[in-house]
Amino acid sequence: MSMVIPIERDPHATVQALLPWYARQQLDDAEMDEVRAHLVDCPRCRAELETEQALRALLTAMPPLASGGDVEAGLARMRARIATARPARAASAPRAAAPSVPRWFGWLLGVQGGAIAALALLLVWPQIQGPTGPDEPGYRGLSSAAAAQPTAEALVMFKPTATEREIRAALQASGATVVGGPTENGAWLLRLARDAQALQRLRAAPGVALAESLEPRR
Amino acid sequence: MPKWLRSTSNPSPPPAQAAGTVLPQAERLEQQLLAGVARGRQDDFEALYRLYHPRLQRFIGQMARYPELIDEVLDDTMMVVWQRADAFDGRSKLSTWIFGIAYRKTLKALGRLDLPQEDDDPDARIDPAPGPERQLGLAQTRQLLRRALEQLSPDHRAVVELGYFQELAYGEIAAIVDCPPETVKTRMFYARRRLRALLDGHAGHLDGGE
Repeated sequence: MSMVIPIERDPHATVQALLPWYARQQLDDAEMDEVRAHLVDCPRCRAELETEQALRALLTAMPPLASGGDVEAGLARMRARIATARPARAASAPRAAAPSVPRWFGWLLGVQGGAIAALALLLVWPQIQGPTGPDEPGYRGLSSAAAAQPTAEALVMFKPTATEREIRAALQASGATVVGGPTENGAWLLRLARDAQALQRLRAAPGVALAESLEPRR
Repeated sequence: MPKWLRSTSNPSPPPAQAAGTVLPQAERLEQQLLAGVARGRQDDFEALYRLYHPRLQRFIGQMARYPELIDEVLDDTMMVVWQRADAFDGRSKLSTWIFGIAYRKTLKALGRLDLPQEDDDPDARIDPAPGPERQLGLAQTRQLLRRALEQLSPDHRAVVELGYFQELAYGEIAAIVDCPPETVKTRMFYARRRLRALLDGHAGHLDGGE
């Protein structure tokens, strides 16, 4: 067990403990106000805040302390373990059939990485599932007329070195409009011009690392 | 209700089923995959494995530090997801549940290694601020930072990793490491203070990045 020394009684410690989240505006309103009010009067904690960004930059740029193997090797191990564990699992009662994730999903994951597949599935899911029933009141497809967000048709990832000009040119060349993103992995969701070559033009544009259609395969 | 509480707890039934609840899209996707896993669908499990592999590998690697533990702990974590998918109650985000499993598995694996106890009180071993060598280059500063991270206890490294790299709110971190939010803040305070103490005197190198 770790020893925990209460810091609540020291206002400087309380504020400094919150700085990583304050800097990202990840506190509730009362805590944001509390920290802000303290910072106004406290040069010491202001100095701490100043170094917070630098500390974060250093920390997040650091390679991990240790790395493991790749995802494919991991999956191979898991398949072997699951094959052994399957008899125990089969004992659980079967449930009502429900739509499964389509076959191409695994392929897409393998090619483009998990996050992109997640986005792709996310966007085509409503179309795969069809209209939602009354038992799912909270569920609304991206493509439904009532949905607030326009349907994304493609996703794009730009090269880390892409300039703003290259990004703008790539979007203009393909008649694309950004409708969402960036995702955690830096992908943007797009609507494309209504012609068959729009995606090819986007892919060919300098600065584009990856461009994938999100339209369901036909 | 504070934001962190909203994001980590839900007094009503699982949000996937709760009337009128709209989950964020990514969360909904993950929970749909998990529902497939609960039905024994291996495709859905593999998709979930691919989604979580990079984040879990990073988290376990930071916390455990021993490369030989990472794959084992990651696989053990995902094996729990495969076998106990129906145990997820929807009261937290799915990532909170999975990271919580990984956190406990990592501590357990470290316990088996019978390592010398690391700092429970990292503040007690703050290195003195550098003197004549204060003008270190960025590479050396990073090396120092790495050493400082290594000297933290796995508990403290977990909080730094989840707070800085994974950018989680402290309430969510508290749910993952299963402790009061105040403990998370305290751990972050001491871990951060230790890192800061080490980097004191190198401020010139902190501002410029590469």
